[in-house]
Amino acid sequence: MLRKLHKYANPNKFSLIIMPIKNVCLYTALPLIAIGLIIGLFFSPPDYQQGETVRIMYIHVSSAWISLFAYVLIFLLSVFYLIWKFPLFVLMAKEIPFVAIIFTLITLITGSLWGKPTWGTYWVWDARLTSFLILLFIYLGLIFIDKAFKYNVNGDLSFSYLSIIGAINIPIIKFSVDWWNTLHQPASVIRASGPSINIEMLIPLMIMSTGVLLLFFYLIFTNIQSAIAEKKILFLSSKD
Amino acid sequence: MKKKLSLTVTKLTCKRNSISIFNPLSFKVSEGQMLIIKGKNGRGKTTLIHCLAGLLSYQGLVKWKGVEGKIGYIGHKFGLKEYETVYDFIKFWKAVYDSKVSIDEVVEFFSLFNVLFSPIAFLSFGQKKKLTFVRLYFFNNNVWLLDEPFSGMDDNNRELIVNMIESHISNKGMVVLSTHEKGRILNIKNTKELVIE
Amino acid sequence: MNNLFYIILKKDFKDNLLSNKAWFTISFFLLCLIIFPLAFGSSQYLELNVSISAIWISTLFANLIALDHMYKEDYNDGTLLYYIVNKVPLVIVVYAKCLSHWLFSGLPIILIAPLCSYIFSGYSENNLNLFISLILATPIFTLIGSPIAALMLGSSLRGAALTFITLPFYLPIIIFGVMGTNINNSNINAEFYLLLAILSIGIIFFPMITVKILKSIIN
Repeated sequence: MLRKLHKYANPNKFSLIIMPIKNVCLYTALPLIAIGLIIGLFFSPPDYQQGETVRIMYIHVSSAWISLFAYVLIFLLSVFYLIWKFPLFVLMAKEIPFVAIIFTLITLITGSLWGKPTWGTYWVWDARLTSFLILLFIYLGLIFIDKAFKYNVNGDLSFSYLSIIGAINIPIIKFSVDWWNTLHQPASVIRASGPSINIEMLIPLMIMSTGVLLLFFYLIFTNIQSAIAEKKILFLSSKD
Repeated sequence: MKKKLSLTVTKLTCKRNSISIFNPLSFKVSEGQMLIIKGKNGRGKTTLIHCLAGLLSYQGLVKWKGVEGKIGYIGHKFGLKEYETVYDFIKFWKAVYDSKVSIDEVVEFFSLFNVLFSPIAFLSFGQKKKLTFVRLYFFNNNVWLLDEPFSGMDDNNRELIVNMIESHISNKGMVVLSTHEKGRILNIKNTKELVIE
Repeated sequence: MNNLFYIILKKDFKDNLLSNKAWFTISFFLLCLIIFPLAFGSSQYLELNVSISAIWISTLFANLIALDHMYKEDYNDGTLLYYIVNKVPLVIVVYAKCLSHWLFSGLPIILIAPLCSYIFSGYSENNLNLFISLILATPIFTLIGSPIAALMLGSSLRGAALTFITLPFYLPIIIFGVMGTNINNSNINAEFYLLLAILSIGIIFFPMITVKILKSIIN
């Protein structure tokens, strides 16, 4: 199994492999996002309590999921890097924060726009919001640690260890709505007793999330390709 | 039965920034033998020594047999604190290694009487380098890895270290030494040379 | 084992005193504390009763600043290298370093903070809570900081980046610490138990990961 995977761990080959996958991701992501947005904004029912503002959810929730998923991905890649020492893993992990931080920002901004009509304020210091803000800063920290170690091998190790330490935050974000009394509503889709959300809202949300996930993959694949190219140039220029 | 001391290296390479630093190396060093690593700057002498010391991850096999205690090591960094006195330095490492060698003996061997209570910041480069050899003196190890031990030393100190190495070799020790100096430095018969291209 | 711990602790203690870094943290704490009444205007400072927050913020920054030279010296002059090659157990070194760091940047603050709070605000009801939550929180600051200080070794941007990266990890501790200090009903001390839980996990987990980091990063 590992032997087989080893073949794809070659950056050049990997770069070639992700080329078609990247394009597939992009060309399925855009229609899915468009369909999701159309259904979500025009055809799904308004909430009985929140009215039309609930439509922010389709962007807010899907980008929030992606921000969390991105961190889990970074964490796993870092662990794999520390175990098997394939440089490709950390190369991939290092490209994720740049994309993930944008989704985190989208989540925070749409969240505060949603908060104004429903809670009456843009920002509350409750557990979910604070821990999500900390996630934003951890992403920034990961970007900084990458920048602070340019051309130093230790940068890879530092990055992966930091991402492992920062992973403590992820369960806190996920369960903060259950552990503390927060203004933020508790989870209604991913929970033990099945989704409590209306099916007519769930469908556009799912379409939207799939689209955003694919878009996310497209973005990180593009980044990874350019990182591999950059590494190749560095390699060529350092050869006598 | 005591195992005979030996070091076998097969196809050792080391990668940094996914560029391998030297071509695969294979060599063997045994008890009472000295290996001199020669090569120009930037060919990976220090890297090779770090690989042997287990500080770097490498590809290939490095097999130590019969190593007693710790590996002795002298590197480019001295591990000295500027504000410490020489006496404190000696005392601290004696305590860390839990050594039975007395401080007086060390002071006499390295002739440190004059500088014993002055801060290390006041010492010259050569004197600092000499101090790092105190660590080797303290514990009873049979393998020494020395990274350019002669750079920046005057004749007296050089003689002292040559004596140390010679007596170590005659005590069935092993020395791996890197240098960029030409010609024979040491008067040891059982010497191997490894030139890194 | 114990002997080695004691030797390295003593050496570190002496290093801190000799290199004159020891007094820096506590002086910084006091300086930072003085800024708050100046920034608020002294009458408002008393009205708002921000002395507790001022103490927590000062503790945070004093700890952050002290973090930078936790392993820096030993890394730069190669002492860590010799520890590793000569197989000195790094766990002991890390624990000794953490303890000596706490002795210089945690303990003085714990001792002095209730007094400062009383002097600056004339308000002493929360002092016991402040004392307890500082006792629990300052070791956590040290423990969380230790792996991150180890991570940043060998980076050119160390000081600034270290502060930025460590701060988000300190935030939960600050939140619970301030909550613990401000509780009025002394029967429910959930925050203290939470801090204690973090401390008891952290005292195993963080030094362990620091050892891993130091070993892999030494080159």
